[in-house]
Amino acid sequence: MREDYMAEEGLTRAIVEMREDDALAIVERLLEKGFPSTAVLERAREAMVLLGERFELGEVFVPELIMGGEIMKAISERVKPLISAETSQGKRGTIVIGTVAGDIHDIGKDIVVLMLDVNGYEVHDLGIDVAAERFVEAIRSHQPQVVGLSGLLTLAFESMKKTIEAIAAAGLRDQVMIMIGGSPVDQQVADYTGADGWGRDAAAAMSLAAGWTKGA
Amino acid sequence: VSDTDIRRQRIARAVALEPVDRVPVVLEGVAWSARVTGMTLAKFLSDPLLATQANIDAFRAIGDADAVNNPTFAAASLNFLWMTKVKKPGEDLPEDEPWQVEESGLMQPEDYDRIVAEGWGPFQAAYLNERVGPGKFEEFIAFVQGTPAVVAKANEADMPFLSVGVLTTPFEYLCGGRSFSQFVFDLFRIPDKVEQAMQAMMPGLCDAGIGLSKAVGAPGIWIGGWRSASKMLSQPLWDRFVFPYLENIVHQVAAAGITPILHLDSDWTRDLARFRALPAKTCILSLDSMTDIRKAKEVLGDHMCIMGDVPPGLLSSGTPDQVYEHSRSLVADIGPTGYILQSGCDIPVDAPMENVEAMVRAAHGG
Repeated sequence: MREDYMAEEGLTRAIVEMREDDALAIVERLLEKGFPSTAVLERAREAMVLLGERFELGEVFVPELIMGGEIMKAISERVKPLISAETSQGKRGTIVIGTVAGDIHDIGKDIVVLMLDVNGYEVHDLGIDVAAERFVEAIRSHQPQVVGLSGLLTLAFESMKKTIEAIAAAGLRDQVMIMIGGSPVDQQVADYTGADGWGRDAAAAMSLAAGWTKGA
Repeated sequence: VSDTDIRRQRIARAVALEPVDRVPVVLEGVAWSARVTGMTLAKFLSDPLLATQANIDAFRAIGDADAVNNPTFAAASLNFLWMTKVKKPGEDLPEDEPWQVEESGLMQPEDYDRIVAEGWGPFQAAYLNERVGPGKFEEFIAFVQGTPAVVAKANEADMPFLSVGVLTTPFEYLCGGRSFSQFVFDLFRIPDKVEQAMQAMMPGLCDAGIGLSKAVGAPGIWIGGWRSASKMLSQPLWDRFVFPYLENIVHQVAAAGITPILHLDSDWTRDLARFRALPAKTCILSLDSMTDIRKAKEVLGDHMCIMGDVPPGLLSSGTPDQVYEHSRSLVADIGPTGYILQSGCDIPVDAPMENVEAMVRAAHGG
């Protein structure tokens, strides 16, 4: 089935193989031939999904995801203005995510955001060093099914705990499933912070989100 | 033979893979030493001798540890290693909040040419002052020049230490300066230019660290790796941009009669076998709990000393019993020879004293 993508003059393959210039040249050729803009974007998105799958299998690494995301962004910037009426596709679910207060690490969080986005979730990325109140406000305004709290420092555990307590104090705890992520987290930290689940990489975040948004 | 000498010898025997009376245990305290001795982190960073005092006080409070990893600390070291700004308590952050490296991409793609043209040393000196902040290079040099006083204080207090000098690979210096994402783009877009800069960085890269360590009689040099971990990079990228340089640095340090302490954050499991190319019975492989330490023992146990890796999360939020049990299992599985018990990376700033005591007690088996 994956071979079908190669029909679009190798766009998927160029992205997966990190050949940025080739990928952008192929996009130009496809557009010149009248290939629908939305379909070009869809091929690029499929390439990112493929990269994500290979990442989970340990066949590609963080740099390939970041570079793939960069190529995807360039294609998106080229193609999106051509899409007159953006087709509003049904989203798999809504997720609010951010690196908790006191922590400014963003690489892991950004990859989770990227992978959730290309896999069809509506993702609201609050950035880094996010205060508990901002998570509460975002839950009120975006009504997510899932909240992701990221952190690389062990100090982030306390912030995660306080954020989850603030969400509970605002009466929103029953509305959301909360996952925590970052290399130092484990079940013990999840228990300590009061999170519903934990993960150390994008694959774990995807798996949790998929489980929690079934039927959403 | 003093008790301090016995501790030093215990560590030396572990490095040489010789039998030991018990597994040595080392504190990599840094911010934790300040917190646990009631010193604010702003004060800890204000003077390398105050940082040394905090380490001495923490070392004495714990009592039964064999050494500390480094007797002092300065944010200038992080500027030097990461080629970027550091948010400091008391300046950019509240008095007692931990410092954080601010990876903001101060280095530009055209700097690769400048490194080739100027050489690494002159470039780094100018860069620190121009981009990281006025006087940052001089701040780092002042810190280095204060090392003999730090070492004298540590020796006077009978606190053995593993290293004073810090080094890392061209990958880490450039990655920190560019920021991870921008550096990744460079690796794919202009790999040859990155490689030329890395090669230009190597001559003299280790000289200052080796010279300093020899001058003060430090047994080892801390050689860090974090973003260049096996888990972070495909094999072709790692083979081309990481290992040849790491191997070169380790050989230079070892040839000077100094113990290379490979402080490896994140997961390096995939490439453990490659470390057999490093000098035998000479290095310390310091792991942070992300690399499979039991696999490391299996692959490298007859080749180099392994140090680590009580997980930071466990030290921070576990109970003393949990820390003790985990540490005992490490002693049983990775020791008794060729092993040093330590936290995985630094002891977290918020780790309770009782948890660190439990780790140290586990080395003694009591």
